[in-house]
Amino acid sequence: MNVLGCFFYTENPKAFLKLRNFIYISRTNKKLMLNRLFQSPGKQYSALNGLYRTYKKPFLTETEDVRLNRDILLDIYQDSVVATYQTYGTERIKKKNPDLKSFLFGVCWGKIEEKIGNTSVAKKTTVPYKIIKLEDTVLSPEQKQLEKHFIALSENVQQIFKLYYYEHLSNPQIVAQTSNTDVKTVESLRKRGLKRLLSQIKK
Amino acid sequence: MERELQELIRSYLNKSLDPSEEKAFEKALEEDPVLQEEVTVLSNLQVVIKEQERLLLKSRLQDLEQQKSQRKPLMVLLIAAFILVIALLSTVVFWQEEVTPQELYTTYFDVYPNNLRPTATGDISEETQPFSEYELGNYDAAANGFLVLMENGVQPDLQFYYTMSILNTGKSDDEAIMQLVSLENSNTKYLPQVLWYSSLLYLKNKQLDSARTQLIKLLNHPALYKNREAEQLLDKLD
Repeated sequence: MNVLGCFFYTENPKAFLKLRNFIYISRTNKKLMLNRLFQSPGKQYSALNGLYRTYKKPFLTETEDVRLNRDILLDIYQDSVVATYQTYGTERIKKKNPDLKSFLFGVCWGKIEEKIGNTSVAKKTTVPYKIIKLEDTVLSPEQKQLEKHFIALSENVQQIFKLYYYEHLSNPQIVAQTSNTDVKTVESLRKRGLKRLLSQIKK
Repeated sequence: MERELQELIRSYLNKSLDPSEEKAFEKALEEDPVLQEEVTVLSNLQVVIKEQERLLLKSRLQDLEQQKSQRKPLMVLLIAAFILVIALLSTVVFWQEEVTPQELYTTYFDVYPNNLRPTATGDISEETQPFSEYELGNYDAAANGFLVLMENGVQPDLQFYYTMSILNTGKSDDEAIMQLVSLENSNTKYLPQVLWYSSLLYLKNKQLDSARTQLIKLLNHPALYKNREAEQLLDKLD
């Protein structure tokens, strides 16, 4: 039993129950969950490839005046597609909405500006997108250490962590997507995995 | 209870708590170092997993691009191979079509048989002797014999075999052409043959227009002699 759980329950049972109901009922992350729900790797890659192919030519055409060689532009485009994919999720990407293109090209132009400087964006016309600057993820030493311990876990446990904490799936959904037979097993594996991670970090 | 707490942590990490709930949770975090450590680890874990996914997806796109660029040289090779095959086929067709007039002559020429005085009966006389020589392939002797037979007057059909004898020797194309021109204006029953052999002779001597003219005359003649061959030759000459 966790200290926080006891604290909530003993100090304010009503608030605790309200909060628990909120978690079960509210689901503000429902959309995100649905986006990633039942996505086989094939479907994920198909959405990613689709996004990549759809806007690649328009991007290269739009950036033909930019003083960057094609390989660098492609690298920028690939990074931007991945960022867009991680932001929007598979289902919204499939719909190809205008916001998606604006976001993708905004990220692209943000990265181009980072490369060649604000004043050097050699474009005949003004960039028709709101430039979005995303910071590159650089893992901290603690995160790198955690990564090592995480990779050392079994693939099944890694997958459970990914689906639970990153994809925000429920335990029954995780059971449906993995080779685990029931919710208890999933919970137990996650709990033991977390315990192991915590203990290894302390060492 | 543990399960609810885990859901709570996840909702906090996912930023899906409302402000008051978030505030309460953060207060609990401050008071519980164990919980704080757990949340920090899980928060870091989200970053690690996201970064892993980013790298995986990026490499996926790089592979996609690489596969595409690898396909390009293959496509170029296939196109080059296709062009080469077409070029080779064209060359073969070109060479097939580029048959010389001399080769056409050789292909289409055959000795005209003796059907005026067949000597199979064994009855050899002065009149049939040249025909016998003709059948035996002694064309010089046959030509001389036909000349002897025509000493008392030119007979177009004999003149035809005389001409064929000269033609078969291959020694005097000019003489043969002259004789064929003469025969064309005669009343020989061998007029279609005259037209055919004169066209071949013109062909042999690279007088293609004259050859064409003779072939057209042959096709316009009511007899069907060598019509199929005449059409083929005209096609090839065109």
